[in-house]
Amino acid sequence: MELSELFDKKLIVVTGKGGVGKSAVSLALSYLNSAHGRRPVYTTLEHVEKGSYFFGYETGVNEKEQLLDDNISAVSIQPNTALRDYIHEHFVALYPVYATILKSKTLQTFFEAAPGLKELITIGKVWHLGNRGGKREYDQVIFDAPSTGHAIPILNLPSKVLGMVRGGALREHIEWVEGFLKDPGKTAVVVVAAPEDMVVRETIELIESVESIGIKVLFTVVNNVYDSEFSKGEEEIIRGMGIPEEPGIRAVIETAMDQIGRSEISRKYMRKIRSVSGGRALSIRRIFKNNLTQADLKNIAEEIEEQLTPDS
Amino acid sequence: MSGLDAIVEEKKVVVCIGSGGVGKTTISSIFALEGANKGKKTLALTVDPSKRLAQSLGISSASESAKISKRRLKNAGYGGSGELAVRVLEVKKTFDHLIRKVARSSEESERILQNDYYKSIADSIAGAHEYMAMETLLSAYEEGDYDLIVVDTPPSEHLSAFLRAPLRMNAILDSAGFKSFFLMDKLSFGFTRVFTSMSLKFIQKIVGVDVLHDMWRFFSDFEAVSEGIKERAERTYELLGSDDTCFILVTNLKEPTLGNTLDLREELHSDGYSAEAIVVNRTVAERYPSAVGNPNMAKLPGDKKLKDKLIRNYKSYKNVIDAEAGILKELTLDYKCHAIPELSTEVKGLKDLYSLRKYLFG
Repeated sequence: MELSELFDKKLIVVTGKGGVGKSAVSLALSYLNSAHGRRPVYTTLEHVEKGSYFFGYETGVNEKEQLLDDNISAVSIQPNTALRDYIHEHFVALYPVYATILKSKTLQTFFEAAPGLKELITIGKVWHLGNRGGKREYDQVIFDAPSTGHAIPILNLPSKVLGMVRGGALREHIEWVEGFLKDPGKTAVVVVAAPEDMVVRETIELIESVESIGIKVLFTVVNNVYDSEFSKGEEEIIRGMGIPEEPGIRAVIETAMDQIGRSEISRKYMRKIRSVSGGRALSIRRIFKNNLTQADLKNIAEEIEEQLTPDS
Repeated sequence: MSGLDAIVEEKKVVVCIGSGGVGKTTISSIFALEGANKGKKTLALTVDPSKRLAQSLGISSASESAKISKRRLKNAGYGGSGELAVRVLEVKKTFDHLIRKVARSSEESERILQNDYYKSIADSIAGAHEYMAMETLLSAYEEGDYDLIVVDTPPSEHLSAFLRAPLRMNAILDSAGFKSFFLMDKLSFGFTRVFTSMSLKFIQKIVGVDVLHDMWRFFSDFEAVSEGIKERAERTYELLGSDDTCFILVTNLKEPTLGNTLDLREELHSDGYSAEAIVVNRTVAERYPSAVGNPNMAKLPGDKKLKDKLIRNYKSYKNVIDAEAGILKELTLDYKCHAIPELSTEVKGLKDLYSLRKYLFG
C-alpha cells in the first residue's frame, strides 16, 4: 500500500459500523492530504451545530463550504438543498416556473417517493464537489458516509434503480453516478473497524458487499487498537501479582492486565481483518481520552502515513 | 428492587434507543434475557439491518425467528420458567404481509404486490424500514403470545429518524397531492390526460414515463389499503405512548453521543413518551473504582523500567476514568443513570451478558 494509491482517487467514501470513529478517520485522511500540500474537502450528511463538540472545531459543519483548519474545507450536504440545486442546474431555462411548483405539496411528496432520487442526487453532489463544482478546486473529497446499514443501500442504489428507470433525466443521472462510483481510478471505499467481535463480523460483511457492488475497497482502518508495551517477561511479573490488597496498587495492576488482555484481542482481530482484506489493513492505536482533539487527528494522520510508506 | 427490575416486571414493551455503536444490542439482550429470568415469555425483536441481536444471543443470522433453549439459558446462569424467542425484521416480507392483511380482496393485494415500482423499491421508500419495524412490533403485541417484547432499534441520532418515520411514510402514501393525481385522472378519462398538469410534466421529465406510470398505478391501487395501514400505524403510536411501553436510552460518555442522547430524551418527553432510564454502557470509570490518587511506587513490582511502564499505562487509563467519573457525577444529578462497566473480556455469549445483569437488575 502506498500513499499514491490514496491520493490518486478523487472520492474516498469512509464507512463502517456505527461508533467506530468514521469521522475521526475521515478528518485524519483530510489532514494527510493537507500535510502534503493538497486541498481536501471533508463532506458529511450530518449537520454539526456551531458550538457543539466536534474535535474542538468551533465553526461546526453546515451547508456552506468553509475552512475547518489549514487547507481543509468542510461541508454538510442536505438532500433537499442538493435536489433544488440539481434542478436549478439541469432545468435552468425553466427554473423560475419550476421554483414555484417545487414548493407544491404534490411535488414534495413525489420527491420523497421517487425511487432513490434524493440519495442519488446527494451522492452526485458529493462527487460534484471534487470536480470543480465546489467553491474551491479540491484535490480530494473525503465523504464521511453513513454507517454500514445505511451506506450499502446508498452505494447499491444506482444499480437497483437503473433496472426500473428506463428514461428521463434520472436515468442519465444514475448512469453518471454509476460511472464514477464504479471507476476504481476515481472512487474507493475506506472501511473503518475496531478490534471487537461484532464490529469485525460486520466489517467482513461490509467489505464483501461493497466489493460485490463493484466498488473498490482501498483499505480497512482498524481503530482503537491496543498495543501493550510490556514484554513477555514483564507480563509474567504483572500476572504474578494477583490482585493486590492496596487499592492504589490494585488499580495499577488491573489496568496493566487490561492493556495486556486487550492487546491480545487486538492482535487476533488485526490478523483476521488482514486476512479478509488481502493484507490491506491499517491500525490506529487506542487514544486514552474521552474526546479527541485536532492534535489527536493529526497524530492519526501520521500513523496512517507511516503505514502507507513502504519500508525502504 | 432497582427501577429497572420494575420495568421488566410491569412493562409489556421495552424499546432500546440510541446512537450507533453505543451497545444497544447488548443492552437489549440483557433486558430480554432478564424477562426470561423473571419467568416471562419474552420476545427479542431486532429491527437492526445487521441482525446483530440474533448473533449476540447465539442464533445464526440466517434464521428469521428462533427460540433460545432453556438449557442454554440455565447454563448461562438464568433461572425461572420464562422463555426467550428472537425475531429478525424482514422489511419486504412484513410489507407484503401487511398489504395482504389490510386489503379487502386478494385481487386488491395482488395488484399492489405485483407492481414493478412496489417490487423494486417499496422497501427503500424513506421510512419503510422503520415503518415495518413498528408493524412487526404491533403484530407481535397483538398476537398476545408474549408477556414482554424487547425492541432493538437501528441507530438513530434523532428521534425523528426512527419514531417519526411511519408518520412521514404515511404522509407519502396518503398524500393529498397524490390523491389529486387520481382524481384528475378519473375526471380526465385515462392516464395520458394527467400529463396536462405542469408538475406532472416536470416529474415525467425527471423520471421518465415508465416509472411514473408504475408509481401512478401503485399509488392508485394503494389507496384501497391506505386507510387500513394508517389505522394500524395509529395503533402502533398508541401502543408506544401507552403505560405498557417504556423507552430505554443507551449511551456512552463521549461527545457528540452523550449530547444526542440527552436531546433524544427531551424529544421523547415532549412527545409524551416515557423514557426514565439512561443506561451508560462501557464505562471505564465503573470498572476501576479503586483508581484514586497516586499509587505508591515502592510497592509496584519489577525494576525501574517496568515501574515506569506501569505508571504510564495507569495514567492513560486514569485520564479516561477521571473524565468519565466527572461526567457521570454531573449526569446523575439530573437523570436516573445506570452505568455498566466495560468488560476486560469481550461480550460474546450468554454468560458474558449474565455477568452484566447485576448492574441493571437486583
